[in-house]
Parts: sequence; structure tokens; C-alpha cells
Amino acid sequence: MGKEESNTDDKQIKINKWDYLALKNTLDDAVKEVLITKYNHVEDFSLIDYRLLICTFAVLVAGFALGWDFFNPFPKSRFVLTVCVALYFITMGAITLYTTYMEKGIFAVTLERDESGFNPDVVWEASSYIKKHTGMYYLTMVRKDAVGVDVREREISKSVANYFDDEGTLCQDVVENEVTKMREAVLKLKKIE
Amino acid sequence: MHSLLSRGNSVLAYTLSVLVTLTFACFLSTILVDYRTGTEMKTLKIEVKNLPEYGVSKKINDLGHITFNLETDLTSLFNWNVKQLFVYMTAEYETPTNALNQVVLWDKIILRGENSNLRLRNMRTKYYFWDDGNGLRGNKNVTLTLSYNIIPNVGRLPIVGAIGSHTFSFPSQYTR
Amino acid sequence: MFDGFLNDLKHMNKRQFLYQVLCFGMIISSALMVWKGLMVFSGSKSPIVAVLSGSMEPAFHRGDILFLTNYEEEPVRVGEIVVFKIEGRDIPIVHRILKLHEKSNGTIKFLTKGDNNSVDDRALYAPGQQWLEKSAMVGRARGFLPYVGIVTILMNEYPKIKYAVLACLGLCVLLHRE
Repeated sequence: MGKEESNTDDKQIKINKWDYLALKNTLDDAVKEVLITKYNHVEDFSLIDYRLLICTFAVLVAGFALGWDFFNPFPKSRFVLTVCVALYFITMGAITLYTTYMEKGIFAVTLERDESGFNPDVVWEASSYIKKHTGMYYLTMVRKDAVGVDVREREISKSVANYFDDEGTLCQDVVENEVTKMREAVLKLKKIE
Repeated sequence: MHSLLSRGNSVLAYTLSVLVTLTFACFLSTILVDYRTGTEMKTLKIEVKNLPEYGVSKKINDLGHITFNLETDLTSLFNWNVKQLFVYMTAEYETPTNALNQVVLWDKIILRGENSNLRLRNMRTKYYFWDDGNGLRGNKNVTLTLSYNIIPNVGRLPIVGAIGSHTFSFPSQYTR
Repeated sequence: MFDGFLNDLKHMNKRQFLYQVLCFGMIISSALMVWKGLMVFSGSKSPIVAVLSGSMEPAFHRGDILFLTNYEEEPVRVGEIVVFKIEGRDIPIVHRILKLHEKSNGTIKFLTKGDNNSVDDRALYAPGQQWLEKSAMVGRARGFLPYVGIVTILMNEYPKIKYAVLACLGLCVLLHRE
């Protein structure tokens, strides 16, 4: 496919349907798109921003070690290098912990603003994964109030074949339908006491 | 379904990981092997001369001349992770100038499959026994030891000293 | 395949792109920090070297890899395989110690020889130099891994391969979304 095609129809997204990563990314983007455009949510980037911050720190530590070792050749730089190496690998561990325990596959955090401006924002978290070899797309949506007392959650699992046609083109309307249904279901759920 | 590239990629990755695992297993399998064996050495003729070391410096140094017998059986050292042995005989002594002198007098490379039962009679040294100064004449305590460096297929490169050594003294007169 | 890359890139936002760049940076810095960690651990400036010549055959061939340590407190002894640098030569040499003299204050001088050479290394040293000192030593060979170093040798001899591989890797990581 070339540029022309994507220019004529910007909404058409066609991917290699055997590439799990591409499938997941495309679906995630589509889900987020629905939340933001249809329901006027505001995306909250703090979760990804913290990850970027930790990554930047790791790269800076490595850069500092490289620079220090360049100006104070090895036997002299031994202590600084030891500290930097330890710090770097601790940071790497922190990134792994952060992505597994804090992000947990969450690809979008969006805020639902109360139009009257009276109630605080409601937080929506969407996370997903694709089970390999089964082609099932597991999508979880969590709705939290600002205090974190009212937490409602719903998960659906549907084959990726539902969302794409044979050519590998994303069916935007199907995603929109699913998200709408899920949102309604979450809203109907009872408060978990 | 999957492209040729991704198939090739996974085949290559799998092959590599199997190779790495096997190599590592080979390294681990011989990490604790005790490579010590015994040796017997004997010196026959012992002489010391006082000459300039030609081509190196004009300084006059002591040059030892010895012939020796050596017996050792290194066959037991070979296992599946030994590619080669580097066997060498060292003379170790103390002089007024140096607290420790080590001079390799003879060495031999034994590849796997070659005869590793050494029975050497009346051997001349392979390298000159030059001292760093004039510390050989009348030196009462020169020790010959046999060591070997094990070259594996993969893994550590241990240097092992054979059990047994031979101590001799140099005559107190230079040979002309 | 390249279309796929462009497609990925098109659907990335600012943060995703920044994350891609950081991921690329982290791949490079991880390699760098592993190397620096090995340096600290082994005490040697170059903890892993590839054998470049056949002077230690049949023990080491061109393209084999040696792991080095350079601990100050460990005494240097005859028979050890050392890697040393000579003034005026860029490439370090891997040879075995043939003779060693140690003064009572601990200073050493030693002479080396390649297993496959018939004479000692005095001809290789700087003109007039007869002995090596501890400062010339880069490290001592402690571990051996065959063949793997051929990759480094190829890359050094044909720098184009090196740049091509690096460019491909960089593009892959930068453009392909995690």
C-alpha cells in the first residue's frame, strides 16, 4: 500500500493480521480513540510519563558513566563505574517492576470530566492482551471515581477476527460498538462494597 | 502465513540458543575436575658459565647448563573438554638482585590423542637458562617444577602444578 | 516489510516515538553497562578480547575469544597467558610468560613468547626494550570460547558490514513499535 491510498481514506487501517503486536497496538489505539472522540474523555499521560522518566534516567546514568570513563580512564574511574553500573541495573529492575505491577498492560488512562464541574473526574483505565496461538483479544475496562472507593471492572474476550476483515483491515464500527456496550455494562454494574 | 524471514529468524534463534546451552553445559561439566598428577624429575649434568647474552645486552650474565630426566603420565588429564596441554618445566630460585626468579627451561604442547606419557632421558633444555645478573654460581637452592596449562574446548584455562619437584645446586666454579 | 514500518511510524504519537528512541538508547546503554560492569568485575580495561593472530596455535586460533582478569593483588607467574600492549602498537598481543624476575619490593619484569613462535618476543617489543613491566599488561587469560570472535574480526576488517548491521538494528528498533 502506498501513501495515496491512506490519503484518500485516512480511517482505513490495514495491517498484517499475523503480527500479534500490530493487532494489539491497532486495537488498543482504536479503543482509546472511541473513548476520547465519542465520550470526550481527556487522556491522562502520567502513567506513561513516569515510565519515560525512569527510562530517561537510565539512559542518563549510562551516558554519565561513558563520559566519566572517557575523561578518567579505567582504573581511576573504577568507583564511579561501580556505582553507575549498580544504579543502571537497579533502574532496569525498576522499569520491569513498573511495567508489570503499575502498568499491568494498561494502554490508556482517560478522565471523564463532569460537565457541571461539580463532581470530580472519573478515571477510566483500559488494559488488554492477546493470548498467543488462540488469537483472543482480552479487553478490560475499569472505572474508578476520584477517591478510588467506587471501582467497577469488566472484561471481554473476543477473537481478533471479530475486529478485522479477511484483508486485515480494522472495522472501526465493531470496536466502537464493543466499547459502547462495555461502557454501558460498567455503568450498570453495582458498586463493589 | 509467516514470512520466510520470520521462519528463518526463529530457526536461527533456536539453533543459537541450543548451541549456547550445550557450550555452557560443556563448560560446567568440567569446572570441578581436579587436574593434579605426579611427576619425577632429576638433573644430570649441571654447569654454569659467565657470558654476555649476545644480541640482548652487553652485560655479562650467568648462564646455566643442565640436562635432566623427566617422567610423568598426563594421560588421565584428558577429558572431553581438554583440547591441549601446555606442559612446561620451570626453574625457580632466589638471588641477591631478585626475590623471585622464574625461568621456563623446557615446554611441550600435547594435543589430544598424542602420546601424553612422558619418559624423557638426558634432555637438554629448550630455552637458555640466563639469569638476570650473576646469581647462579654457587646457588644452593634451584627448584625445578612441572606445570601444565589446560586448554579446554570451552571454559577456564587453569594452570596446575604437578606434585613433585627437584632441587639442585649450581657448582661454585664457572665452566670455561 | 518497509510499508509496515512506515505504517507503525504513522500511528505513533509524540510519547510513543520518544519511548521508541529511549528503547533504542536503552539497548545501547545496556550493552555499554554490561561491558563496564565486566570491566569493574574483572579489573581489566578490556575484559573480553578476540585472538587476532595464529601465534598461540594450536591453543588459540584467529577468532577465538578470551576472558581476561587483571587483579592487582594476584601475583604474575611464569606460564600464564597475558595480553599486553607495546608502545607504538595499537593491537594488544596475547602471549605466554617465559621468564619472570621479581624484586623484593614487588616490581616485576617479564619476557613473553608465543606458543607457535620459535623465539621469544624481544623482536616484537619497542626498540631497545628487553622486558615487559606490569603496566604493559592488559589482563590475564582466564576463560576461553572458540570461534565467536570471528564476528568482531569480520566487522573490523569490513567496516561496511558493521555500519550496515548497526543501521538496520537502529531502524528496526526506532520504527517498530513495541
